[in-house]
Amino acid sequence: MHRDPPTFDEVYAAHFADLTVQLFAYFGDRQEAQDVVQEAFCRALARWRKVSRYDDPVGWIRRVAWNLAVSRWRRARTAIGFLRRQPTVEPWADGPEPDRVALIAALAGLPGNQRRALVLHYLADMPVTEVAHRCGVAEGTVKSWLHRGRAAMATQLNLTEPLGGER
Amino acid sequence: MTDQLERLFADLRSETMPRIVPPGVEAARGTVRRRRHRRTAVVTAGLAVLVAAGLGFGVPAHLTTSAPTPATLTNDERDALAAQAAERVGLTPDETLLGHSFGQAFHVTHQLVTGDYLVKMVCVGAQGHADVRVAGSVATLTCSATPAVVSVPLSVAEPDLVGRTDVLVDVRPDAVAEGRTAVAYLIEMGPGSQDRLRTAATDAIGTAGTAGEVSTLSDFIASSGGSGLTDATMGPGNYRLIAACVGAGYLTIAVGREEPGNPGFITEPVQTLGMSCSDGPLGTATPETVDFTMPKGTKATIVDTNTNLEARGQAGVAVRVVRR
Repeated sequence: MHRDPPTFDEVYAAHFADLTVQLFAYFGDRQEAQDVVQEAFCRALARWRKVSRYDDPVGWIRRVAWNLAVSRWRRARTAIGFLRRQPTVEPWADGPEPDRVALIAALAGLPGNQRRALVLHYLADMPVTEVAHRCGVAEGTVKSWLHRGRAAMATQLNLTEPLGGER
Repeated sequence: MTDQLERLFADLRSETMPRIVPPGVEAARGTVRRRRHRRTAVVTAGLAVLVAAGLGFGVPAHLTTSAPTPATLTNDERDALAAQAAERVGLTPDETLLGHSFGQAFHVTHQLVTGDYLVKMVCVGAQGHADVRVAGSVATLTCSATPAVVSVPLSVAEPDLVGRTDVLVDVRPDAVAEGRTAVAYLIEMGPGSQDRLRTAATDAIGTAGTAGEVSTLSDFIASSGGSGLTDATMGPGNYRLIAACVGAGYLTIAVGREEPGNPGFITEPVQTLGMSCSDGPLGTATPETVDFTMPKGTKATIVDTNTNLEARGQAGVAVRVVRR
């Protein structure tokens, strides 16, 4: 059965915020996340006829946004930057809850591959097989990243429940 | 623990989603349209003059005598040098796109609004040189542990337009510097060009002194990306906000009541407005208008402007509030 490709407006409306949250969790700066996601959508729009026919247009946009963000030399400073700038950048909103600040800070302390695996697994709802496919590594490697990432997060955040597995 | 972790991620998502204000599909279309119709403006850089004057530039790499070449640095060491280089030119990449610092050869294309700029650049590292090509002209930086910052003028000329022009910055360390140094540069718009954008935005919202006017704002969007005003005369009542943005990027405005006990902060905006900054011919920027009502108990009203990274250092904004 033939299915029409999604329109740019549909994909934008459905996924902009979700992608921004994922990038925010990884890089720790919501404004920065929003900017790179917008740029990724602009690049998708410029070649939408092609991108819209991919099996996973959103995956393409996510990858572009991710690449844009990691190419910035300052990635290591984003969590600090977020904490410092939050009141002045968006002063009309309430500050984040302490738990969320702690979560972002704990994520920022993880090695990049563990952080990425956790974000894709928990925020993008990807199963281990898909995370492995996206990262170009074996499933066992992703399981190891998730295990280590969860353990480090548990220590950082003083989580008390027993160690669980991936979904 | 997984449940706890899942819950934390779910909370992060549910708390963050409502705070995200997408610039919108129209902003994306505007960006793509501009890129497809780039103007071929005249771009000149003043690098050659400064090369001739020898202001801070070293001897070209191929003329230097070779010294024993140390091992290349680790990524962390290069990142540390990049941070030092960034600090030397005043680059805070958290706040602007008009500069970069990196520990190896790189190139970046900037879309610059018409105007006069100063490009500050430096190479931090033990030895070697780096060629920095800006808009076709090349400067050779001498790398050292404590280098002086080299500043060169750059003119992106298109007198009757705000315009956007691609300017390529290409950084190439020589064989000695590659992997052992970091180059940073920062492009800053000159004060005259900043005034041009600010004035164009002010002109777009009309003459000052309009009947019922209660507050105005006219500003150049600096690298920190925001501006705003707190007006204690704006109590409860009905108002109209007229705003314009000229230059690059996207502007969002939030209006709200000052949070009790937290001066300068808004609890919940009563109104928001978003717009793309106009980069068309001078005098053609169209103002946006929005009405809002300040509720009972308002003691002071805040009009807060915020931009995306693209606008920072490249946009002028003007806002007028009148009573309805």
